[in-house]
Amino acid sequence: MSLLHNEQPANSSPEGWQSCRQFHNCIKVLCEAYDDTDANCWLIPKTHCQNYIFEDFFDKMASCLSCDYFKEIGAQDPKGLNFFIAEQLRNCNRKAFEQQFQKEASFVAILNRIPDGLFTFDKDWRINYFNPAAEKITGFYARDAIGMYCDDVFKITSKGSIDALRKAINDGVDVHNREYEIIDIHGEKKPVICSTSAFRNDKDEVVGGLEIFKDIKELKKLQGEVVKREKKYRRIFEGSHDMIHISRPEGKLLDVNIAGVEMLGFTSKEEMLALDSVERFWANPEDRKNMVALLARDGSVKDMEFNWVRADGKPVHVLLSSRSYEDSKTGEVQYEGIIKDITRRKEIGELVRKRNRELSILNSIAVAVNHTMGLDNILHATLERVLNVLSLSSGGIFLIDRVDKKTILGAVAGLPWLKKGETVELIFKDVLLRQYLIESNSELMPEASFPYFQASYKTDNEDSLLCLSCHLIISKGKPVGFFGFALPPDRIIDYLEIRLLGSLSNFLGNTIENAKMIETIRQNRHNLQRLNEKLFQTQEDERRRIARELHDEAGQSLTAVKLGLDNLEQKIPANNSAVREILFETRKMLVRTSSEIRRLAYNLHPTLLTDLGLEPALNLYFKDIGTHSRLNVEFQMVGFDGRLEKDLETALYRFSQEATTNTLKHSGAENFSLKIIKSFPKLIFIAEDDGIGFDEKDICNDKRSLGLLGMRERAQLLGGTFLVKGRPGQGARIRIEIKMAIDHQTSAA
Amino acid sequence: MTIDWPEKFARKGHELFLSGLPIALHCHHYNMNLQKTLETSLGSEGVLLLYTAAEESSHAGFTSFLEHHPKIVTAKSKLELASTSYQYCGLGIINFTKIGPEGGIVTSPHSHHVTGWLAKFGKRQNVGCFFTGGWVAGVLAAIYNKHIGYFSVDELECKMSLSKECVFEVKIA
Repeated sequence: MSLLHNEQPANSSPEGWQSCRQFHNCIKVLCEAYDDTDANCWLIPKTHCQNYIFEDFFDKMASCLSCDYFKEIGAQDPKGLNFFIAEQLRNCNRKAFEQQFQKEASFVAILNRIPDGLFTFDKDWRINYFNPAAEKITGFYARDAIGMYCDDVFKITSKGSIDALRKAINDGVDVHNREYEIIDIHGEKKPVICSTSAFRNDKDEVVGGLEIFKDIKELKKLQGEVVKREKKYRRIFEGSHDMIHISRPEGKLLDVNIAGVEMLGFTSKEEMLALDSVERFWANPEDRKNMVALLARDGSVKDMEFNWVRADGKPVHVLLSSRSYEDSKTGEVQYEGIIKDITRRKEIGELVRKRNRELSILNSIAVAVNHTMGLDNILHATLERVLNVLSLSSGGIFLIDRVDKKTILGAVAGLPWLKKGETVELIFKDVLLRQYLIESNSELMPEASFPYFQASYKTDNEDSLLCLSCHLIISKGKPVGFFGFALPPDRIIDYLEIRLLGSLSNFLGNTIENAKMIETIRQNRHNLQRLNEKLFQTQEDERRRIARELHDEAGQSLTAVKLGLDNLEQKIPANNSAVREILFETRKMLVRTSSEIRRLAYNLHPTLLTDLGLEPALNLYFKDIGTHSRLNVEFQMVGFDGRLEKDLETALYRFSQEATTNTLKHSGAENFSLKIIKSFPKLIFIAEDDGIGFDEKDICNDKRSLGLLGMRERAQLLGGTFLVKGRPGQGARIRIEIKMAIDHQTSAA
Repeated sequence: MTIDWPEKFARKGHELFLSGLPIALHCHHYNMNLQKTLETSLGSEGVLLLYTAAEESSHAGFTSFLEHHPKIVTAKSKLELASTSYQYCGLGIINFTKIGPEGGIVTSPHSHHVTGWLAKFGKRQNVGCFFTGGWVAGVLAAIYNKHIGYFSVDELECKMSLSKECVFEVKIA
């Protein structure tokens, strides 16, 4: 029987309850009867109440034992009052244990959910609780770890550390947040942060302890990364060749690297950081104001160029990139940035720009030279561009004639009283230089540029001299001329312009020499053509004269001899057969000789060509070829309705003769075709055969090449083109095209 | 069952006797270093040495022990005695519930050698309770009145490689 939830007897005394309540006066009483006068008596000990089963239990039990109601109820128990009391005690104990277990289970559930590793140990340092997080960190299962020594599970790599830990605990000092390195069950080292507390009994003896630890591998890794990055940043900061700085918007420098100190000419970082403001570095303070405004507006500036001033006052050109940020600790706005010294780069850039200009000028002159091969044009174009580049208005190019020891004006612009092509009497300031350059035949060592010299000439007024700044033009060590510039009073030619003129002079000197050589070659070529023309003309005239001599003189003489033989034969007796036989043979010989002379004369100059024209002469020629060879000749003249000019007919006849002869002698062809086509304004000559052909590479070594060369020369004299083509086994083809003038065609039929 | 342990680890000088046989008690560090040394230096021969040494000593010890307790006659009692003896010697907990004269399965949820190995060297990649295997073979041979080497014991699962318990398969060799 239990008093729990028992009904209160109807005849119970409320006064008695009240006295009990006052007696106990416990505000923690949670008895169902509490504050409910109609309910059952609450003076029953708390054994029947929820919770609070320990507090004052025995005191209250003693009080209940003196309570009549309690006794009355207890006496109603079938097993008697003592059993009733024992049952109350047993219920109390049961509830106490249940609550104890419940609390422990709750604690264990909480400990199991703690993300940090946690274990407890007894006085011998044997583990008696091991949570899942500890399992995860150490790799030990709780079932294995419980019962093992702490050292065997929580294996700290340094032996001294665990001893120190034990000592600290034994000395009564708790250890908090100490870092260790442990080895887990897989042999992997893990950094942990650990707190250890001791459990102590009433006598302050250590009866066990609690160890809480956390795997800080990731944290360590991050810390290591932070340290590494910090070092890296510091290395970059200090190792940079560019200035890196941190400053406040008002200009106070907070940090700067060594490169910045050196760039701005300070002796130490401290000296620089002691400055009140960086404004003194700015050549133009407005530039800094603008930059600060940009940083305030955009937060950053990039690759801005400024002129700064070093500590020693020297200018330095810088390239600045900067950004503003808020300091995480102080909240203060600061600037950080990189400043690069680009003074040297600017200088090099300027030099490159000038070099490019120089190359551009040389290129433009080269282009002009390529387009104008005449020396006059070259000199004129060059002078024009040089004056333009140097921003000058007057000057000239003087050519040195070392044979006649004089200077000739090759090109001129803006120089008064001077004309191109005329000899100029220049007065050299250095007389010896004049002798060296113009009168001697000495050579100069090659130089990128030569020093300028001064010369002058007389103008209209005998007493007035116009002074020229002169720059030598050299070719292969020999002075071939010089530029002469009339400079305005305040104008000087700087060293870069002198170098430019030096480069140009070397280039122009060779160009002048080349132009002179080309002119010479052109003149020689012209002379050679004239000579060839004369040669061919003479050859034809001589052939014609010999042919005429043969026909007129030798032919007539042979005719006279034949007539004499005829007279002689009539006077010889008929029976003198021996003499008659001799006469017969002599006459036969005479006829053959006469025929040979006639053929020779015809070949030297066919009379048919002169008398009837090209086509009948060639028809007869090819008929004769057909008689004496097996060559099949196909001959056509197309588009002719009259005679051609005599020289042209002769040339075409000779082309035909040469082509036919080549075919007969060298090709072994069976067929030969020759076409002469008049296709105004051109006259086309085509000769083809189906012979063995030839390799065009060997044409110069071929015997035919002399004949072909003659054909080429004749064609060129007539202003035509000559083309010969051939391949081994594929025959040969000659094509000549001659431009026809109207007067090439005679009106005579 | 109450066992009267003869001589109760009677200390004679620095000698210990169990059932009249001299024994040496070593801590887990010593035992594990010994096993490690044998495995490292002799390989499979070292493992066999551990196994046969344990088999011989357990067979001799338990035979002597049974001679001192003639009232223990059933195999079940002998097996319980063996299990208690294993625990009493501090070697761990061992269960002979699935074993018979033809062999069977023996399990060990706790082991002195396992704890020692894990504490000393951490997780193993293979089974490692060679001493226990040999001890089981020797004891079973003694219980079933067989000669040494009658049973062969193979460890199937081992707590040294983080299994839940050590499992031994006993077969007739």
